[in-house]
Amino acid sequence: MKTLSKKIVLLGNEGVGKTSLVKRYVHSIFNDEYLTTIGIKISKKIVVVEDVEVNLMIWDIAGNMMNQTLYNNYLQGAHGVLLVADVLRAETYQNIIKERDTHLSVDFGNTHTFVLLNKSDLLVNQPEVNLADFSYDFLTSAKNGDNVEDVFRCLAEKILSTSRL
Amino acid sequence: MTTSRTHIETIASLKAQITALEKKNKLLKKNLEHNKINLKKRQNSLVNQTIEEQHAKLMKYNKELEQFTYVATHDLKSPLANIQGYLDLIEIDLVNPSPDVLDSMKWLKYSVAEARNVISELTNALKARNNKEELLKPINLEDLVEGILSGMRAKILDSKIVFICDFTEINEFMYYPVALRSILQNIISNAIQYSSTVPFPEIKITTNNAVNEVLISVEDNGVGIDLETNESKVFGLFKRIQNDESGSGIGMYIVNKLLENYGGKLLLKSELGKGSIFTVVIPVEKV
Repeated sequence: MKTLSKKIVLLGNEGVGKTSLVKRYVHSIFNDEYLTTIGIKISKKIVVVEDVEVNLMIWDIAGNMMNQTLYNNYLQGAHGVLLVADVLRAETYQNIIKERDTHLSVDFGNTHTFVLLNKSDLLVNQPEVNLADFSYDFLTSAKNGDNVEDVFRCLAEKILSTSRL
Repeated sequence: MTTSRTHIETIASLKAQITALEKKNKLLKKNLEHNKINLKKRQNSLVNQTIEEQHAKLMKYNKELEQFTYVATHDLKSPLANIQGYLDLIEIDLVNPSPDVLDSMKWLKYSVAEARNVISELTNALKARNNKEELLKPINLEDLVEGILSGMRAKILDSKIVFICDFTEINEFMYYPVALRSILQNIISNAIQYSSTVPFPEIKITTNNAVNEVLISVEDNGVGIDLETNESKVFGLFKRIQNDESGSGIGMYIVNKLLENYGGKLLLKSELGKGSIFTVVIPVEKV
């Protein structure tokens, strides 16, 4: 079987659940205790897409690093970017959309991006949140695992389909 | 005739003198041998006495150190519990705290919990000091390093250092958590100290998987060390390298001693002005 390595980066403000999504996907665990990520954590998960074994190298970049000097260095070589927002914090959604439209699409135009609204488990009893206000690719929950596998699988498939063209 | 008699007498006298000298020489040799033996005995006795004195001193220091550690860990428990209690009370009384205050509260509580955790681990290590196997536990390196970095969070944010942790090669193995925590804390703290002055400081922590060994590397792009002139100083007690302006010179000594005790070694690659790579090599069983 053919083996490929692909770099995926998670971006978004502090506390939106990037690390929790990675932990859910890579280790199948969720921890309620929140610790802000310091710097960058790299994790690996192998997925098989059709006849290809893909090593997903997942770069979880601390929320406070966005817009810092050298930030571009860490995005370099990314095949896919997951832009993560907290579904209950509208400003985190606005920030990732701004990041996508003013930075990623300009400097990393060939990189695939997905917008994720995370913490869908908290939507219960939140009638004021109207999902129609957002334009997103996946509604996820690191807590109960909703759509988490799908996000990474779809991104891997999308990356592979482009690299085959 | 008279001349030849005189010669014979002289020869006889000389022979007698030689015999007497030989006897004296033998006696002197015997005395010398005897003195040598006595001197050796005295020297041995002095050496033994010194060794015994040193041994007694070491035993005393060890006992004092053990007592100090017991007292320190025990006496730190109650003030830390007090801080924890007051933090809980402050949290209850806070009215509309700003996100920054809430964040500070969270990190204060985390730091207190970490300190209590370290004390508890130290106490367990002391209890099990005669049975090292009891201390051998599964390690999740990501969690261990996360704990270390979180404890240094303020320092890291202040120095604007970017940490990159990559444990994709190996993350879980068996070792001594208390020792490994101290080893990595000292090396990381060192890396922060020597990187904070460069324009874009970056520290990479990575693992490599070898046969029956795990290699944990801490690589910085800091000031570096001139190993030609300073290599012996890096691991010495209270020794600081030439371009070092701070530090006690005790951290790397502790690292080396811990690795000597628990098994493992420390490798160092460095270049002045380019940075250093400290690699901890530990013999392990994979989990």
